[in-house]
Amino acid sequence: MNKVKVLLVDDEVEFVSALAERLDIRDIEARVATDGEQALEMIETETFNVIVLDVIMPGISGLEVLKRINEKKIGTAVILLTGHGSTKEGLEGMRMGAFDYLMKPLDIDELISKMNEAIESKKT
Amino acid sequence: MTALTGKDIEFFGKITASMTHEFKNVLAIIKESAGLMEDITQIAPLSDGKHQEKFDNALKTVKNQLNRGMELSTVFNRFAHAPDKSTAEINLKDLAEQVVWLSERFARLKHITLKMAPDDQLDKAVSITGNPVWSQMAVYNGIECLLNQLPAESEISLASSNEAGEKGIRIDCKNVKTDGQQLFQAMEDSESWNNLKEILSAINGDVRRLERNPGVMLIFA
Repeated sequence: MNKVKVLLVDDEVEFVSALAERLDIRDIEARVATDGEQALEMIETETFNVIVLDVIMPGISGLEVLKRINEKKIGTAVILLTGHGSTKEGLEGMRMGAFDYLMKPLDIDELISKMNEAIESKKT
Repeated sequence: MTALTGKDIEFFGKITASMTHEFKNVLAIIKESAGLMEDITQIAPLSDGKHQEKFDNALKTVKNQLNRGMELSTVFNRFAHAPDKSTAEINLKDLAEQVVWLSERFARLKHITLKMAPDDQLDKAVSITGNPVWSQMAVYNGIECLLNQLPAESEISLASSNEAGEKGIRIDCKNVKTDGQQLFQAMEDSESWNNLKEILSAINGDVRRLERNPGVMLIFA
């Protein structure tokens, strides 16, 4: 089975770096973007099995990034990250086609399980 | 200084809610960093077993405090969002739990235990339509009234209740070293009682003494 490749998009650099390293330890290739523009550029040049996207970021919001990902029709599942005050955005994101949303702080096992479900959902 | 108006409360709520989101982000970074430290020591344990144990204990403390911080910030975030709506459906168990969390420190400083009653002694479904801020103020002031009267080592427990057409929060007290009537009289004679009555009156609520145990019933509808 090919190694899973995930794009983590979050403006909190320390958070996303530590998360990427933890996924790497679990044999998941994690690439990092710290804003929406960078994420969209990376999607143009690389292929990901799943994208984990924070909904609230400076610059282009997570939901706007999701909208542009949808327009590209790349067929990659998206999981949103929300805070307690942004569950509304999480639900809105699901209406826009995101696979699911998770609240920060994350449980890494839950994230991996959700990532696998999201990848499977794109195979069916 | 003037009293708080709706605009002031809205402002405080908005800023506080925003700060609690930032606090969550801080906790998320600490959680992932602590998780990474744990991952690394599982792959490559420290060569000295004694140091590994100390490291594990310290990491356990960090994780416990993270959980505590997350629970506190969740409660505080909910508190900060209370002014978002002037009227909302309020589940009385959630309301009681929320105020227990917010008031627990005040009780701890007086060496009084403040907690929720066991699930089988409360009504999980009872809800009212009311003002979220004023409802929390009412419960908090009810607790404060009791904290001002109760001795150290006593215990306060809250339960949402829907009995005989009264929807409210029952506040039972244990180890109070006095009877219910005396406790209620002392509360009525205190300054904080007027605050409580004023708040309850503003939301068409009331307060009465519990019949069997020391304590009070806050009636919301």
